[in-house]
Amino acid sequence: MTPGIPNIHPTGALSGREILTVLDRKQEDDPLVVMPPFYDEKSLLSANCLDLRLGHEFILMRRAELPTLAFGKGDDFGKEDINITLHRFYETTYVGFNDDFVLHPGELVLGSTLEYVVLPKDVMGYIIGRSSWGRLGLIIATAIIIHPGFKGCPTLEIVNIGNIPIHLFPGSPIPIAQVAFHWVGPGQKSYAGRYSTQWVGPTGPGYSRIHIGDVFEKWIAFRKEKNR
Amino acid sequence: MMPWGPMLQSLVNQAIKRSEHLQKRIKELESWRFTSRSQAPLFLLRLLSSLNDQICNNLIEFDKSTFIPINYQGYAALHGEIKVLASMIANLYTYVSYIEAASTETNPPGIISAIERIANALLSKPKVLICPSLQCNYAYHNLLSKKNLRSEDTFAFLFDEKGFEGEEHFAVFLYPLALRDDVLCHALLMHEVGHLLDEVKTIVPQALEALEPKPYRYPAEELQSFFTEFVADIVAVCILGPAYLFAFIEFLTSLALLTDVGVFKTHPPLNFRIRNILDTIISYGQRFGAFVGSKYAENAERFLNGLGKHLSNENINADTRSSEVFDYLQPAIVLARNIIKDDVPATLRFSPTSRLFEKYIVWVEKGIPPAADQLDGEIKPLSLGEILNAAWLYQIMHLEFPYELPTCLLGSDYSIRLIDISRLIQLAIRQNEDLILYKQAGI
Repeated sequence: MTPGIPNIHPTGALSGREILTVLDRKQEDDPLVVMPPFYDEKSLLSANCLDLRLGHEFILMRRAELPTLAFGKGDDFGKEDINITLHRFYETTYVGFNDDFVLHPGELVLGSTLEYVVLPKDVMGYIIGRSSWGRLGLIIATAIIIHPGFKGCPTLEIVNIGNIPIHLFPGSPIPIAQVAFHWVGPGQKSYAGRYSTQWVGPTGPGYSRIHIGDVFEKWIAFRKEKNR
Repeated sequence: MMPWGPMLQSLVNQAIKRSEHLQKRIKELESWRFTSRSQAPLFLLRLLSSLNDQICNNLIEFDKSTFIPINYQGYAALHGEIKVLASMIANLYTYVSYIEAASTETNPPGIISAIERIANALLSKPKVLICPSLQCNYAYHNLLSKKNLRSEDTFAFLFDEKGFEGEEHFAVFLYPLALRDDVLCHALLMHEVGHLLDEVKTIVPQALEALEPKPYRYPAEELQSFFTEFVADIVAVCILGPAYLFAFIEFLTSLALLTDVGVFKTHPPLNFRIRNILDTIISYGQRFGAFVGSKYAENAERFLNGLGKHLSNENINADTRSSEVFDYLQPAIVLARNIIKDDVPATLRFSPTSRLFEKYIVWVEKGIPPAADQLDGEIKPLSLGEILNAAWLYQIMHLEFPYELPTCLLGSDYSIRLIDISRLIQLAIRQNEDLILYKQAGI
């Protein structure tokens, strides 16, 4: 509820002032939490969104390891095989404060925000790239929604679509993305993803979980049946 | 080609080959990324490279030599010299393995950076390298301290051949690779930092002066090595408070050592170390009595009281020999606490009453990393002591009362929660370290 406007459920994007109000809620009133609290109040009020920085942990794709990521082909390609394949495809690395991370043209890397966010149940967020990076050819996030009730460091799918390598600065105060918030109407359901039942959310980037869920399993089974 | 027969010839050739291989490896490592924010890894690499060069040159000289020993003794002496050079190269490989283990890949930034920062703040720019090892132990080596060197050590070469004065400090802190992600246990690294502080500031000799000289039936070396451990524990408590004790108990429990009375000859029996740690916590006013209303503090107090009772049983009293040593050392221990309090800057000392401590435990409980707080409109990074104590107090809260040591620390729920807390706390420390750097940069 917007403070001072009783009985009318707020809608639309949160203004900078509203974001500050939700940040200032008491712990028992389901606040928005951004840790560490590194926002500049003035820029928050003028831009109506929060800046996010780049974390230190990355998941790299081992392009040379696999010819292709084609799931559901072949008779014995089950859930476990997909899991193993995905883990063969990924490699986790850390980049310290003083080091650059060089992203080459066409390269995809999974990173995460340095900020750990906890969203209240009546607010959702959208992660959007910053134009200053976008103009260099950097795409920050494709799956941009942060669901109400989510907590953790959101994963960023970072791609260099430009023609020249780009240096990224993990942990630096230079924002890499921003998050805009929306009110969620009554009857909302909270985030029900992998970490929804855990008291600690993701603290770094997460792997693809494309193979988790009923629909995927049914589809794989259908493909196997059809290929027989 | 030396005229000494195939055996020595082969030894020299193999040693030269290994030395050349080592040089290549050192060059490769120079381009690696390291967790350390200092130049320490590069400094050590260059030192190793220069030592290796020198050893290699000596071996090449042997290879080119036409000298023929006149008798068997001469031949044996020559053999011995070559073997020493070959073993020095093997030693260099060990040091290179420290640097390999200090890479960002095996040693993620977070608490390691925090410990390094604190070690640097305590002393005037020591060179510190923290890395995991396969040993299930926390350890400290001062590579460049002349007094610690035996004549056959590779680094002794530095003093003989390069005229090193032995005033440099290059500290290597090792922690168990098996506990790499068990961030809460890494509070134990502060004990190793304590050894470095003691060595640089000569705390042990100063404090031992407080003792009345009296005829004593225990060797002075044993007394000194026991006291050195007590002093390192005091440094760790001064900086991290009860978090160090909790980590100590956890570590001993995980190694099934908690009930052992005396396991190491160079270390005091564990019960006496715990006794000293508890006494130091009280002496530094770090008990959580100031938060009697808080459920977290009550639990911690109960745990500490329970531990006190555990130490009062016949376990500790039966060991009359160690009891006598412990009592005899008391005046020196008290003096050491005062010296250490003066040597550790107030900003690094842990004090549970310094801030809104309970809030940070609530953050951990809610799955929020306790990295920084907004106080008086300013963002203030928490101290490492505050972060680790908040985490431990939350963890301790879940123990079932009455706390029967060590079984209460062995439940699967306890262990699973420890994994989650470690993940959260590693993130908190990483964020915290970044904020401290922002502050240093005036951002």
